[in-house]
Amino acid sequence: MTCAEARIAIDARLDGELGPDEGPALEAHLAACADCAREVEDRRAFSASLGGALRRALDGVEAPREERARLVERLAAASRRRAVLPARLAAAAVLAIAAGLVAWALLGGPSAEQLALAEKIRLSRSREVQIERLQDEAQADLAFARESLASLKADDPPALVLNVGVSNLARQLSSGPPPPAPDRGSQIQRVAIATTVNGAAVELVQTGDGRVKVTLPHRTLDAPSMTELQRRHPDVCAKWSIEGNEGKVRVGKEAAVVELPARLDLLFRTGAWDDEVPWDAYRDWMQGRFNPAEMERRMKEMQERWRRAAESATVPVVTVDLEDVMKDVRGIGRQEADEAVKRVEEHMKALERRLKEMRELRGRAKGLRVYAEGVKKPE
Amino acid sequence: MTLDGAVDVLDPPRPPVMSEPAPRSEADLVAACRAGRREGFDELVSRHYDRIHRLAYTMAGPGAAADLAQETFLAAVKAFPNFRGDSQLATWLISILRNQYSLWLRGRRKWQLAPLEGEDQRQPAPEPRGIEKGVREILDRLKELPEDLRTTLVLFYLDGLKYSEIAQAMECPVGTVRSRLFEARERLKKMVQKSEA
Repeated sequence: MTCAEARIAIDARLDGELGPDEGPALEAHLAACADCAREVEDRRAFSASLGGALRRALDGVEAPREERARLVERLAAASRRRAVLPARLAAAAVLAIAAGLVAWALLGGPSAEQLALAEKIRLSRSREVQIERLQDEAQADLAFARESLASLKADDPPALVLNVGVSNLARQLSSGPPPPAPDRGSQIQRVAIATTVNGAAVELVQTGDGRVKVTLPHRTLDAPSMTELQRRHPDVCAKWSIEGNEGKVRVGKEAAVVELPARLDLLFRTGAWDDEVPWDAYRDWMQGRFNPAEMERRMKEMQERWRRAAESATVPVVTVDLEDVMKDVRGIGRQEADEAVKRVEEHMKALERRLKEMRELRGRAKGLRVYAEGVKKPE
Repeated sequence: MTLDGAVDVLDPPRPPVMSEPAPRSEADLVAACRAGRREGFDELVSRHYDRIHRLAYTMAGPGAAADLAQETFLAAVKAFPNFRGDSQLATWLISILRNQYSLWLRGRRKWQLAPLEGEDQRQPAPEPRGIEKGVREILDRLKELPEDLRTTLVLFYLDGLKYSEIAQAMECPVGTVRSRLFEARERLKKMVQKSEA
C-alpha cells in the first residue's frame, strides 16, 4: 500500500467504510510509516471539525412553509394533468384507430393527412398543457391567499377583500356555473341616483342582489350587474354618462359609492372584481398604523407590485414532441384524418379562448397573492 | 487543524436519515404518489423536501434553491411510473435533483423561460440566522469545490448517507465516492491552510 492509498484508506476507516480486506494492509502500512500514522489523528480531527462546520452552516437552511404547500398543489395538479391529457387527446382526434386500416409500416411512412393531423394535435396539446399549467399556478396562488385569510381578523377590510377575491377567482377557475343568485337583498337599494343628463331625467338603482335598473326617457334597462349593464349597452351608457362598477356608480355629475362591506357583498354576488377595491380596503386598514405619507408610499409600492405581478403572467413555453403524437395517428386513414383535423380545429378555437381567459385569471391570481402577502405581513 | 469557529467534535452523531422509522412504508408512499393521491404528495414533500431543498441550496445557491427543488419533485411525479423501487426514494430524488441541476446549468430547461408562480415576489431562501464567521467561511469555501465533491460532502456529513447510498444517488461506483470525499477534504484543508498562512 502506498502512502497515497493509505491516506484514502484512513479516511474510509474513520468514516466506518473500510472494507474488511483492507484493514490488515492499512495496519501494516501504519506500523511501517510514521508520517501516515501521524496523519490518522489529524484526519480524524479535521473530519470531525468539517462535519460540525457543515452542519452548523446548513442545518438552518429551511424551505419556507408556503413553498411546500404550493409544491403539493403543483404535484397534485401535474399528476391530474398526466391522467387527463391522454384521454383528451384520444377524444379529440384519434378516431379511427379501430378501423383496421393498413399498417403504418406497409404505407412506408406517414401520409400528408396524418402529418397535418399530428401537427394540429401537437398544437392543441401544447395549448392544453399551457392552460393546465396556468391553472395550476393560479390555484397555487389561490391556496396561498386562502391560507393568508387565517392570519387576518374576519372583519378587517383586507380579509373581506381576500374573501371576495378568492371566491370569485375560484369560481372562474373552476369554470363551473355561477352559484344561484340569492334573492336576499333584492329589496334593498344600495345605490340610487336621480339626476339630469343632456337635459333629461335619468334614474339608476342598484339593489342588494347586484341588479341594476336604469330609467331613461322612453326606455328602461335592466341588468344583473353594473358590469353586465355596461357590457350589454355600451352605447347607452356612453350617451347618458353612466359609468363605474358594483356599488360605485356615476351618472352624469352625480356619483354614489356604498360602504366597503356592502360593496364587497355586491362584488361577491355579481362575480365582478375591481382592482381598485383592494386599495380602498388597504388604505382603510392602514389608517392609524402609519403616518399618511408612509401609508401612501406603502400603498403605491404594493399597487406597483400587484400591477407588475399581473402583467408578468406570461404563458409558459410548452413543447410537445411531434414524434409522440405521430404514434397516436398511425393507422388513421386519409378520410378519417381529414375529419379529425376539423374536429381538432374546433377544439383548438375553444382552447385559444380558454387560454386567453386563463392568462387573465393567472394575472389576477398573482395580484391577489401580492395583496395577500402585503396584508399578511404589514410589519 | 480545525476550521475557524467550528466546534471540534470527535465522532459526531450522524443523523439517521435513510432508515428512520416511517409512519408508513416507502412502498405505500410510492403507490400513493403513482396513483396521484394528494396525501401521497403531502407525505413525499414532508419527508423529502427539506433535504432536497438544502442540497439544491448548496448546488445553486439561495436564489435558485426553491425552483430547483420544486422542479425536482415535479420531474419525480412525471417519472414515478418508471420508478422500480430498486433504489430508495431518497437516493432516487437526489439523482433527479442532480439531473435537474445540470439542466439548470445548461440553461435549457423550459421552466427558466416560463416563470414559476410568484417568482418575481419570491424571496431567495434565507441564509441561516446567527451564522458564525467561521461557519460562513466553510459555506464560501464549499462554493469553490466542484459540484460532485460538494454534493458528496453534504450527503455524507449532513444526510448521513453511507458510501453505497451516495454511490446510488450519484450514479457512480463506491470507489469514486471514497476518492471524492478524500479529494474534497484535501482541497478544503488546503484552503484552510492558505487562509491561516
